[in-house]
Amino acid sequence: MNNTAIEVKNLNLKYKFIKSMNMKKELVKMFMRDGETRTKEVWALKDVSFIIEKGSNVGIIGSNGSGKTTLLKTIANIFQPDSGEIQVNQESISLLTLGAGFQPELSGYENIYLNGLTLGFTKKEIDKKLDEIIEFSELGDFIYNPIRTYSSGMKSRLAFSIAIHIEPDILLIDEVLGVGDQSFKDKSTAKLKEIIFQDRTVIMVSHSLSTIEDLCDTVLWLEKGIVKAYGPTEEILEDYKEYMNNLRKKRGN
Amino acid sequence: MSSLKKAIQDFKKYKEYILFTTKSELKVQLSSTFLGYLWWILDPLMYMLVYMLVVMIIFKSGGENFPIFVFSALVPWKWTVSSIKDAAKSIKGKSSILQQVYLPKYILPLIKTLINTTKFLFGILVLLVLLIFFRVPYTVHLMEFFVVFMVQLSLILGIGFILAHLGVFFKDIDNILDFTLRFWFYVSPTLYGLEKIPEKVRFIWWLNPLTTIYTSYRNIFLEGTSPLYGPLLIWFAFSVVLISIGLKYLYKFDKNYTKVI
Repeated sequence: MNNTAIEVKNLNLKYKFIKSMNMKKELVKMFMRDGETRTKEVWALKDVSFIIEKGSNVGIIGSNGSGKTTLLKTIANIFQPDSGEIQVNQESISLLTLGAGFQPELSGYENIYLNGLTLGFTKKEIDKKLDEIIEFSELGDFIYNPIRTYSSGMKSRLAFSIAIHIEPDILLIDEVLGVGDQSFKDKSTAKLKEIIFQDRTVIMVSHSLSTIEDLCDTVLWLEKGIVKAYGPTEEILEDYKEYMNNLRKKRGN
Repeated sequence: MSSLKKAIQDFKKYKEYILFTTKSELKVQLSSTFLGYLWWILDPLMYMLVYMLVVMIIFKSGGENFPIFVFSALVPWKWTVSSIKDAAKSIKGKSSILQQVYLPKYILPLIKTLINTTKFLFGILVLLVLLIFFRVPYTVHLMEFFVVFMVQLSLILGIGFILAHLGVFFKDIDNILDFTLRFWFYVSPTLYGLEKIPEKVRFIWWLNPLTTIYTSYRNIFLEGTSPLYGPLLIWFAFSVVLISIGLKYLYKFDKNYTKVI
């Protein structure tokens, strides 16, 4: 029995920035025969390798711009790595998203289908989960009104209800936690925790260390696109906190 | 060839998404106007009236059945321009979704084309009514409409796929398209017949696929003859080449667009 959910091998990914064209500079360059190009490359992920076991909850930490979200999106099949391999051994994998493809002019009911189909559901699957989604969102008869008439709280309640009913084998979460007013926030956080603690592989990005401590058994620490450490939550978080404190002291001086 | 295969596989997988999105975008467009469906009928009719005014009254030109003559080219023209313009913006316009969910990119210009195709078919229905109104008899050649339709559809998709790719990288594509499409409109025999072009240079007009397509529609609807099967076959082959080039690029950059949009 193969027990790995995801195997990432030597993953590299770069962003290319194209500086806008400046006519004067371009002309000067032509005469000076300057070889400088207008593109600038930034490696967002450098030689990243790790293995995630089935059913484990992995938290990705690191300072801003360390490549956490990039890594998540590469695993989610949204970004193409420049080299390296990602092997996914479980069937479905998806990023927890709120309201992708919502059309403000259409009713909440139609938007459940639109959003669901965008996320890769089939119509039949949505039919089955429809009642549950509507009930969880607490929208009642408002579900038949166009969502442009919704308050932002209602909209995020609907979006969240759809998102948590997807239930893929591997769930990727990028800083999405409770939404809406306090009571719905509690309910949604509880539901999310329930999903995370089920027999499901979860990878999440968060800046909140207490969340990671709470929910994850393993932590991947990225720094400037490089895996700095990977292991049990307690150990890594301790090192990470120390590292951040040192960094803060250095900045203070 | 492999990208064509992949496209067919993805089409099966995303069929429900494509159809539902097409329907809901049409619905959104309808609900944003008071007259709704009526605009699909009014829009080509209004254009026809404008050109009738310009050509028949100001230039004192235009032959027998000129309204039908113009209408049978104007409706396909509208279909072409709107689809191409929408396709060029299709990937960029969906950037927020593409940052969160994977979708094969070619289905975005495809959806835009399907939306415009629906409107086009409405226009053809209006044309069929206009034929009665102007006492142009229906003939069996109307059945051959679907051949011309398929050729034009593949041409639009071919151009649309390539522009969807380019539209991500070139910010100025909208401005360039505005000018290019206007030019294309006037060099195509939309408002005039080919016999107005001096015979010596007429061959240049046949390098434009719309010449074949317009003439074929006019043959079917107005003249009661067959479409130009020979040239249509050539343009169909040409379109298939465009489609494969477009698909090749759209799949090559499939997961790289998200890094720039």
